[in-house]
Amino acid sequence: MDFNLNSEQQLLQDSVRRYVGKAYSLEARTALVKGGKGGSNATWGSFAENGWLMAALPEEYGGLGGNLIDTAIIAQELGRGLVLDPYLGCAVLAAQTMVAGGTAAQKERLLPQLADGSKRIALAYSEPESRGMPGPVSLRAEKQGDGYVLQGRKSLVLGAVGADAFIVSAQVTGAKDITLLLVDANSTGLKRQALPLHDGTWVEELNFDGVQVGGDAVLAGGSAALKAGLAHGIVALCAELIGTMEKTIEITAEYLKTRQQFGVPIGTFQALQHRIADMAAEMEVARSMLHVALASVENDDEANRQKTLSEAKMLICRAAKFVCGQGIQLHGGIGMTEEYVIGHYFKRAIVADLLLGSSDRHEAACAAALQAELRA
Amino acid sequence: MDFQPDPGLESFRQEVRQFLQTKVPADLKGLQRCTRSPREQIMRWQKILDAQGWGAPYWAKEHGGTGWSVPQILVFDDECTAAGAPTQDGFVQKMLGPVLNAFATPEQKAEHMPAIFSGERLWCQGFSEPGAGSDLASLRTRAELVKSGDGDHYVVNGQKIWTSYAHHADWIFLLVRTNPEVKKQAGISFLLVDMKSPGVTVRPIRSIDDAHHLNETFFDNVRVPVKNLIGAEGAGWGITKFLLNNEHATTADLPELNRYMRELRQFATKLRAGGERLIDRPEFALKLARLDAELQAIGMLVQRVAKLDQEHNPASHVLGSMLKIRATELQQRITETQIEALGDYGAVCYPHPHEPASDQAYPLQDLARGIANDMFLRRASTIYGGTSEVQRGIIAKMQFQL
Ligand SMILES: Cc1cc2nc3c(=O)[nH]c(=O)nc-3n(C[C@H](O)[C@H](O)[C@H](O)COP(=O)(O)OP(=O)(O)OC[C@H]3O[C@@H](n4cnc5c(N)ncnc54)[C@H](O)[C@@H]3O)c2cc1C
Repeated sequence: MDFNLNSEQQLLQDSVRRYVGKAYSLEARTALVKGGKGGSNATWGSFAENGWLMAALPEEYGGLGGNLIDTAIIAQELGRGLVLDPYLGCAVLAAQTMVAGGTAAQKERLLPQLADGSKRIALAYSEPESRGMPGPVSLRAEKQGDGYVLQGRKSLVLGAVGADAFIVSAQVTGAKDITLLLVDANSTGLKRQALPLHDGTWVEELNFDGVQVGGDAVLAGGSAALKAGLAHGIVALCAELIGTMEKTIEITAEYLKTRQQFGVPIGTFQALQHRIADMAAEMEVARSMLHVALASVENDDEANRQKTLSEAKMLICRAAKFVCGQGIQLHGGIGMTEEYVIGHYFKRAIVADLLLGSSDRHEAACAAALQAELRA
Repeated sequence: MDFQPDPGLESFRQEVRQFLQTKVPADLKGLQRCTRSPREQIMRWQKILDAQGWGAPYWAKEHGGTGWSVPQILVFDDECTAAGAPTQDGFVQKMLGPVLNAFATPEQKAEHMPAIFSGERLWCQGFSEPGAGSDLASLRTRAELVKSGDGDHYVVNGQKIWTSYAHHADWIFLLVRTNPEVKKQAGISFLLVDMKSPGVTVRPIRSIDDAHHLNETFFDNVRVPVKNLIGAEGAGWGITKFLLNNEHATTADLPELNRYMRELRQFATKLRAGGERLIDRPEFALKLARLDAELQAIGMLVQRVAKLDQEHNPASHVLGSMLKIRATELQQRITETQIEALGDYGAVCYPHPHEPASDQAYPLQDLARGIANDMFLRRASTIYGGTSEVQRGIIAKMQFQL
């Protein structure tokens, strides 16, 4: 194992950090939050130009042939800057589901467009009852000719605003596995409602009322492909939270040195020294868990990988809520203001905890996996 | 020890409940969450309470209050919250009122009390400054005494911050430095200031719960008649300690905690995950059980602190600090659990409950609106009223002389 970034990885990290530092000052971010529905076409264009959208896509489809570590490096930097653009929703979740499950024709047609940023797709898999887990799926797809008719609803689709198409998970009557279908964003019968999240990003609620797709809309992979896409998404979200925690701790440490009360910097109070030490330790445990997840994706079989990913999701999300919550606490009143950045890190941690399955749901999944293992 | 319930308490609860059923106008019901109700609602509600003889539910009879016992007060608060009645002006009921009862002259009482009872004068608290938070005694807002023919007055200059509801308030109770020469605690005085005085400016601060309740308040050569000084010049620190001790005990917000738990129980049976009701999922049931047990204990701790306080037992301060730490942390945990219970929709930023709903209804709106605002605002409850870190310091010092 090698915990250091190699020179290419270092280059990637530096370039994302530099860009985020410039493009995502708090003022610029606030303007983006006020002006749009999460991110902007200009920043997305820069993502594409810099090659970040294609970093982890296969070379044969216009990508750079990188892997999940590249995704994690990019996501971590985006987390430090609280970037709003739908990297997670479009460049990771949807793109990697397509990589894992698309037909050769779909991949040939779509992946180069995703890689160069000219098209966006989003992954519509969560429902009110599945709550970010891959199942149960209640959206129905009925066979009609060689295509399907879709009826049902998807909740909180990440990266849906501005997407050209959706990968939708559906239950075909009589089928064992779920089916993934590519649905055009402008399809007749598809109703979209944009909703803002606490962290300034936007999602969409999708209602399918008799939406028709052709036979070529069916992806080759089903739930296995969806799980592969979600695996990338969970790792990216976890990496993003490491960045979020890092930056929270840096800002807070700086504040402890500058804020004076009782005639001394508040960082001289042992209670606060111990707190920031705990925050840092919490973050390093979380970072190690991210490494466990990355190792597992490289080395483990499917069953072990699912459990490890669930462990990572719950442990890192809980750590982020603690660390970012304490970031507010150590700032006192100023931490509560919308105009100061620290509260926004907490907001991102709260939202991240609920996306892609909450800590509770992943904890329950881990418990079930352990029961199965130990009872056997 | 004796844990027999107060025999009259149940009939008192029925009396309060019936009053709330019949006397709270429908348009006043159910709006507020843990932030305060809008100004007009507080004022109308105060008039209704006053007409019932309940204009000061927490004060002794001799001060025109109801003279209710601690358990009665808790029942009253709980029933009001459960009925969705508007909030009162907590600043005047729980902080300034007791100060006036204890320290004001008959003339001062004659001027302010009628407006407090009739609800025509709302108040805000001007203590914190940009450089004086936990170290409140280092405050710098100056008040200089000027003798003049048309009455002696103070001239106030300086800035306050985090002034909750200053934009809704008619008056402010203000800590000022009247003497920069003496030890910092000894130079502080307690003034009442009309917010309409020339030279007072209020600037809004938006907070992370997506609301405007915080403000910066500026004083630029504000003239304050000397008759608005409470207690002696330089006695402000002692008065403040008296006031803050009252504040610590009430920041538990037990009625709100109870309401959160009622809502959480409702979510447990109404919301579903993975094909089951939440309550049928072991991970949720366990969490609910832990919170429920802790709330029981906190409820009893509130009673203990209030009783010690009533008996003027100094132990109430230490116990009050413990209560403050633990109850505010519980507020944070229950509201976070509420958000988690909403699933994906916990991440949605619904329109603020005090603002009109959007044209198109959001999914789960009836259940979820306002929940996140409360959760974000509750991050402040371990900060305002003395931070948890400062409370821990108080406990170590007072209980163990460390
Ligand atoms: C929502 C809200 C409403 C408020 N409403 C009002 C109001 O209406 N009127 C009003 O006057 N004020 C109000 N306040 C202000 C509140 O009382 C202060 O925020 C609080 O006293 C803390 O001060 P500070 O914000 O300056 O933080 P600081 O004192 O700067 O504290 C920063 C950090 O240092 C820690 N710290 C400070 N001193 C010590 C120490 N000795 N030992 C260990 N740790 C320490 C704190 O615990 C905190 O973590 C409000 C605050 C909030 C957030």
